[in-house]
Order: sequence, then C-alpha cells, then structure tokens
Amino acid sequence: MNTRVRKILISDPTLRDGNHAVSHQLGIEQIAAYCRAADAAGVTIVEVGHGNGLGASSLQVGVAALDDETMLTTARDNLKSAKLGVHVIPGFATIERDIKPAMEYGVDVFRVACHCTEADITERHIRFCRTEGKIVFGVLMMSHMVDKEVLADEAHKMQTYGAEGVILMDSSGNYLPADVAAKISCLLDNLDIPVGFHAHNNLGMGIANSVAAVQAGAAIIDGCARGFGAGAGNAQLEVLVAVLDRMGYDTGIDLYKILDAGDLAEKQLVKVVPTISSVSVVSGLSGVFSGFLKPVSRVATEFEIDPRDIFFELGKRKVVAGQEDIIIEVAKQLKGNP
Amino acid sequence: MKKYRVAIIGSGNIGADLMVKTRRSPHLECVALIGRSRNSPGLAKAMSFGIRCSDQSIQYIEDHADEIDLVFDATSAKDHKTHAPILRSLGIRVIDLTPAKLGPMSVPAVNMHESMNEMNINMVTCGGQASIPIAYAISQIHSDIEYIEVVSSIASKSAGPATRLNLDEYIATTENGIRQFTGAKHSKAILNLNPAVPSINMQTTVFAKVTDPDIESLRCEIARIVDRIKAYVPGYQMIVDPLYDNGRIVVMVRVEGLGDYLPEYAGNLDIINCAAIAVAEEYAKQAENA
Amino acid sequence: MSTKQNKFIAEDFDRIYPAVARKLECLAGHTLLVTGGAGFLGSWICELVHYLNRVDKADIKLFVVDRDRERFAQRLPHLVKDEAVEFIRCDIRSLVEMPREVNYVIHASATPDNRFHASSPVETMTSIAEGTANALRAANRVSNLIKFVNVSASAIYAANTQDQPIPESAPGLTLSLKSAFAYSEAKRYAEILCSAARSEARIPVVTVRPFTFCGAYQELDSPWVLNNFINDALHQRPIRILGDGMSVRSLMYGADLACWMLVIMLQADSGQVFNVGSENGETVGELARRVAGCFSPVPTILINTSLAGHTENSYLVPDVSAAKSQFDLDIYTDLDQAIARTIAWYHASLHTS
Repeated sequence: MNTRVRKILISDPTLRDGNHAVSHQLGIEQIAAYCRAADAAGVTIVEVGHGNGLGASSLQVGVAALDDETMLTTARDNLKSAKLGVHVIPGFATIERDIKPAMEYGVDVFRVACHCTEADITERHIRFCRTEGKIVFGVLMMSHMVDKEVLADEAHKMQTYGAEGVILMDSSGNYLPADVAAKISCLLDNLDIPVGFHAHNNLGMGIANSVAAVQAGAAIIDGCARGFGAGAGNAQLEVLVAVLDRMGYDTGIDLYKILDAGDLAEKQLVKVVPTISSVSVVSGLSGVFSGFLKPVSRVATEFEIDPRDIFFELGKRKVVAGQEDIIIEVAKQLKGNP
Repeated sequence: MKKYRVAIIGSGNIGADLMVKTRRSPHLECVALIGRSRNSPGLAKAMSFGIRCSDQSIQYIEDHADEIDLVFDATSAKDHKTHAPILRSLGIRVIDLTPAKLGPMSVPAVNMHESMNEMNINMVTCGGQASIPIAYAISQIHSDIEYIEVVSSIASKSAGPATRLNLDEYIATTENGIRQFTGAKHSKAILNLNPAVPSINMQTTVFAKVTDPDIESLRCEIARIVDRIKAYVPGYQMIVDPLYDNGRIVVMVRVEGLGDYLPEYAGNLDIINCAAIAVAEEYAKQAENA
Repeated sequence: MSTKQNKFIAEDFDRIYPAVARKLECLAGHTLLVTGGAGFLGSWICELVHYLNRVDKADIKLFVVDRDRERFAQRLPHLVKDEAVEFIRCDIRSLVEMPREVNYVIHASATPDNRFHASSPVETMTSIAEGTANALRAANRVSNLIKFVNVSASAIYAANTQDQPIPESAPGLTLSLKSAFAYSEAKRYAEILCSAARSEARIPVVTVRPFTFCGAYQELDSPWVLNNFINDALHQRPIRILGDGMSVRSLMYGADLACWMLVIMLQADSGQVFNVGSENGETVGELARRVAGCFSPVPTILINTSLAGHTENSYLVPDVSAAKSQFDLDIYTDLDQAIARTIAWYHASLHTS
C-alpha cells in the first residue's frame, strides 16, 4: 500500500468562473480582497478573468465591468506566493491581442481550453505559451459530450503540443461519479502528464465527482469559494479541501484560512449563494453549458417562454460553449416566429 | 462569347471547389488546376473533367502566361507572397484566397466596383463575407457606430487544418474587414466550431452597438443587401430579422453550401468561393466590354 | 546563411574527417540522391558531400529532392551555386522520376514535428506511405542502383521498460489503433514496404533507425528536452525541468550522424537494419547542467517544476554496437562539444537573422 501522502493541486477559478454568476461584473476591490484571502490560505493557482477567459468580453457572452488588464494587474498585485492563472479559448482570444499582454501583466499559468473534440485549435496557443516559458495546461470543455476514447485522443494532442497537464471540464454539471472515474482513468492510461477535473454542481455532484476524479488518479482539481461559478456553481472549495483532508490527501491549503476565504466570498463577491434552481437541474440534464443560465433566463422572460424548454432544445441541438447567440434563434423558433 | 481564362493554383478543398464552380459559369473557363502533389483528389477530379493539371506550381503560370487572364491563388500565405510579384510582373490578375491579404479586400455585395480596378484582391474570410454586408447595411442607416461584433459557428467538419492553425489570423482579418467597411470604432470577431452531427450549416450573428438605433429602416436596407448576396450565394439566408435586444442590434444569417466539392454543410468555404467567382465574372464582363 | 556559417560546419568536418576518410572513399565518382534534402538529416548529408568534394575532390554528384526550395536556398546557399548539386523541387507524393545516373538514394523525406503528427495524422501517414512507395518505384528504374537507405525512426520500437539501450532486435510497438500512433505505424509500414520492395524488385534496401540528435539545422521550437533547455537559456530564463530530471537520453551530433549515414550506406548489406545515435545515455538533469554551463551568466536549473506532481520518466538510448562493430564507427564529437557547438550555432543564426 502506498503510505506516501498524495498531493493534489487545487486550482481556484472563483474569480473567473464566478464572474459568470455576476454577469462578469466583478470589481477591483473584490478581486483584490479574494486574491489576498486565497493567497494567505495557500491556494496554488488563482484564476482570474471574464467567465469565458481572456479576450472574451463581448456582446456574445457578456461585457465585463473591467478589462483584462485591470483584472489581471489587480490580481497580480495581490498574490504573493500563489500563481496567477487565466483561461484562454482560441476563437475568442488571440496570441497577439490577448496572450502576449497577459504575459506582461504577470500571468504565470495559461489554461488553454477548447470544446472537447477540437484540441487541434489549441496547438499554436499552447506552443506559444510553452516557448515563452509559461506553465501551460490543456482544458477540454463540455467533456460529457463524447466518450472517453475520444477525450483521450484529444488530450494526447494537447500533450504533444506541450501541455503539462489536461483538465476535463464538466461544463454543464452533467456527470455522475462513475462517468468521471472512467474518463479520468482512460486519460491517465493514455497520457504521460497529470490529469485534472473541473466540476459543476447542477445535479448536486460537484464534490462527489471531484472525489471520484481524485480516487481515479486525478492530480488537479478545481474548486470555487462557496461554489461561486456558472449556473449552479462549481465544487465548493472549502468543502473540497475539508473532504480531501479527511481522505488523507495533501492540498497544501490551510483549512481555517480557506474557510475564511469562503466567508469573504459570501460577503463580498457572491450576490446569490449558488443553489441548484429548477432551471439549473434542466440545464444539467440537457448537457448545456452552465454559463447559458443567465442569458437563457433573460431571453425566456423577454419572449415569455419557459427557460426549461429553451434548455432542452439547446441540448437537442448540441450547442457548445460560446454559442449564446443561438438562444435567441431557439426562443424565436419556440415562440412560433420563424 | 470568348470565355475568361482562369488558372487555379492550389488543388486542396478551396481550389477544387473553385474548379467545379467555374464549370457552371457562362463567363469563365478553367484552363488549369495546379497542385503540389500528383495524388491530390482535386487534381484527379479536374482530370476527370478534362481540365489540364500540373504540379509545377507558379512555373506553369510563367510558362503559359499568355493563355491565362486570371489566377485564383488557393495555396498558402507563404506561397502567395512568392506568387504575387510574379503575377504582377506578368500582368495577370489574381484573386487571393490565402491569409496573405496583400491587396485590398473585396466583398461583392459592397464594393464590387472598386475591385474592378485592382490587380490583386482578397476575399477577407468566410465570416467576413457573411457579416460585412450586414454590418455595412447597419452603417448605411446609422452614422455613429461604436462597436460591431461578429460571431460565426461552423461545423467542425468544415474546418480543416488550415482553418484550425490560423484562427488568430481569421479573427484579426475579420475584425479589420468589419472596421474598414463600416467605419466602426471597435470590432470583434469570434469563431465557434461545433461537432454536432448531422453537421450544422454556417451560422453568423452580427451584433452592433449604435446611438439611436433605427430598426425599421434597417430592415429594408438589410433585405436589399441580402437579395444582392443571394444573387451570388444562393444558400445565404437571414434567419433572424434585425431586432433590438439588450442594448444591441442583432441580425442572424445562415449559409448552406452548394455542395459542389464539399458537402452542403461547408457553407463557410462556399460563401468565400462564390464571392470569388462573382468578382471573376465581373472581371470577365469588363474584359468583354473593353 | 553566411560564409561564417559555412566555416562553422567545415570546422566540424575538419575535426572528424580523418577518422572516417577511408570509409567514405568509395563514394567518390558516384551519384547520390537525398529526399527531404532540406531537412535536418538531409542538410547535414548535403554538407558532408559538399565537404568531400571540396577537400578530397571526390567528384560526387548530388541530387536534392525537397518540396521547399526556399528553405534549401536559405540553409545551403553554397550548394545552390555548386555545379555538382542539383535541386529538384518535388513533393514526395508526386515523385515519379529519379535521374538515371543515381547510384545511392537516402530517403529522408519526413515530417519530424510530432505536433503535426497529432493535428494531421492522416496526412502524416499518407505522405510517409505514398512517399516511400514513390521513392522505391523511382529508384527501381535508375540504371545502377547500389543502395537505397530508408530513414526510419526510433518510434517504431515498443515503449522501453528495461532502462537498457534498445537494440535492433527489440520488440516493435504493440499494434494500437489510436491516432496517437499514426506516425509510428506509418514508419513501421514503410520499413515493411521496403522489405517487400527488396523481395519483389530486388531493391538493395538498408534501414536506419535514427534516435536523438543535436546540431545546426534543427528547428529550435520543435519541442524536445534539449531544445527546451536551449530555448530557456537563450531567453535568459531559468531552465525548467518538469519532472525530477531522471529520464535518460543520448545525443549524437549532426556531423557524426552524417558520417555514420554515409558509411552505413556504402558498406551495409542489403536487408540490414541499424540504429544510429549515441549509446552514451545521460539524465535529462545532466543535459540541462551541460546546457547551462554554455551560458554566461549560468542559468539556474529548476527541477520538479510541474505543479501537479511527478511526470513519468523514460529511457531512450540506442544500442549501436551493431553499427559500431561492423563498420568500426565511433562517437567523434563528445557530448560537451556537441552541446556547445549546437548552442554556438543558434547564437550565430540568431544574430544573422
């Protein structure tokens, strides 16, 4: 039996995924305060930015209150030992306009993400970050949409491009623990680099799925303070740390201080503590990106139709993250206006 | 009627599709398809039509300069930079379908006339061809445009390695094109790849932030420009009429391809090629009338 | 490339030529064709042939087949002017003809970038399969073909679990249908295709499996350990090792590689297979230290920098006793020199570009 304590890398996207929950309106004070708290608690990577990552502030997915430069420099000023990370989606962000400046603002970790079947669009971006000496991970979003062999294949491409690890995202909160275990194992069998998992809580499985991932061998887990994130929120960070602690893993995070960070998040960042609303249950079941919750709710109200119907239709059409414009088309269709 | 003689360099998907489209045109004749590798399926298809094929690259054009009126360059940015000066010195017109973009941009529904005076034009990007006419229509109705955003979703299957490796260039070129044709202060382009099966058609949404939006007048202007586009891109369709939602103008269009070389879902490739053919035919007519 | 760079390469050959001169004598007066002549291996072989002609009046005629004329002209401008050298611009998938007077063929046409293999596995496989078939067919119709060298790859071997140098008899990789193995399987297919050509058409094929190399003409951004270290150091960053630095690799210098290739080509019997590379394995940590030592100030080396824990170690070193004993070959450029020369080359080309 392996008696050595296994280390788990916790990556904290409270200030990135959480931005989805407040329509990307996080302000300078909030970013500064949470960064200090997370840093003090010993979090390794603090991820900051618009919910859809670098360069994503747009009419399509929402205009952020602050530009990338302000968000990142504020975070950089308030992180001493934690690394500053960003989420990057090629197709939204470009090397010249977004990645290079991010490097200048002091970003250490680049998580280059794509829809789970399109890894080859990340080649240039992963390469660039790697050649510039930065820490690079690959991320496969909406990973519930394909089987484990496809995921392993796509993850392997990212490894070849230079990713130091690959993270599977459950962007719609659709997984059950057995799904996660199978996929994480399959990736580990096919890769030479560490594997990670990012949970969403639409079906109440945020912590359970994260635990299943760790037990299957994942070394990187994402968690957000109070679960502050898109849709029904993410795996709740404080709970995650407590559970992993109890299971005998080493997260390097101080329990009291991360609980304090959770309290701070509740007071200062979160408008509404994430719960699993009826619409969130539907979005989880239908496998639609959690970030669609707010735009769907808004359009549903405007067009006077049931948001749950919109979600099921979006699920049928297998829309991917970033396709928020389709919401309007679906609403019109359901309303009967061709 | 003497046909305008067109040579195509690049026998990949774009070049092969252009070759098939020239056969439909009453004004154009494809005199050669030039590829890099003898085994390419594009060359095989051309041979089956009795079209001359070569793997001699630009050398073929140099050797047959007086038999060629126009070249479509569907190779790569790097290769086009080599080809362009040679074609210029030979006095042969070129339509550039690579990311090189050495000459001015051409969007038939908007600036066909200006393109007639040029010897090297490029067709922007697929998202650009789909959205620039719409954005232009918005700029015709509204004098003060703060920001235009274009979001395109294309089928995963319609995006080959060249598209995937050049997403950044796609974004920069489309954004540039939007600003150039509309005078908008800021622009943004986003591209989504969707692997859903059956493959989706190319879908493009144009968002605009303007002062004093006038949706009524915009509807007429856009309907007019959509008709102009349909004349050369039969599969172009507006699926969401201009509306005002959450502080922005929204228009959505969809392009279904003709299915000439690639299947119908490759509307992204089709729109840029249809646009190129439209301009080539105008060149042909210009030469006829000269 | 400037004359300064010409001189640089010539210095390398000046140093090692005496040891191999006699072994290369019988190439004199013959004609060699290299496919992929503008690549790493191709460029070094072209340089060696040019050297032999200049220094020994060997009167070797050289045909270089490659689809990238610009890269050839940029890397080897002295060969563009050389009357003994003819460049044939041709994509290997289109190759039909080789000049009748060709006696030796080195089929080195390849896409060595494994990122390309990941993003374009179909094109990777077809270009290896079609390219090799074309090269064999074309070589079959020259008047006097003495040897055809198929440049294969160490990728065809199964993962090395023994931590021992890999001999030619080591097991090949287990069949897998995953596209991650597209390149390896295509290279294995090419080896068998060459055997088939030997059997069916009596083509005198020799197979070479190259391992890991350094030196001029390698693209610095192609991602493997040495390049990563040099890249870090050139950018004045600490050298970053993800794992504990205990993976083992060996390095052979480009000039040595060129000599080994030509000697094997001249002296091996049809049907033989040889690994090519250095059998002196070093840990990745040690390689990093040697790279660091070539820079001033000496960059720090960081190990275990992977945030998420230990990455698996691997052992990739060839057993080259077969080639060494049969042809009396050796390593002529020791590791320190190989690394130092490689870095000097990158410094020089950065300053001229």
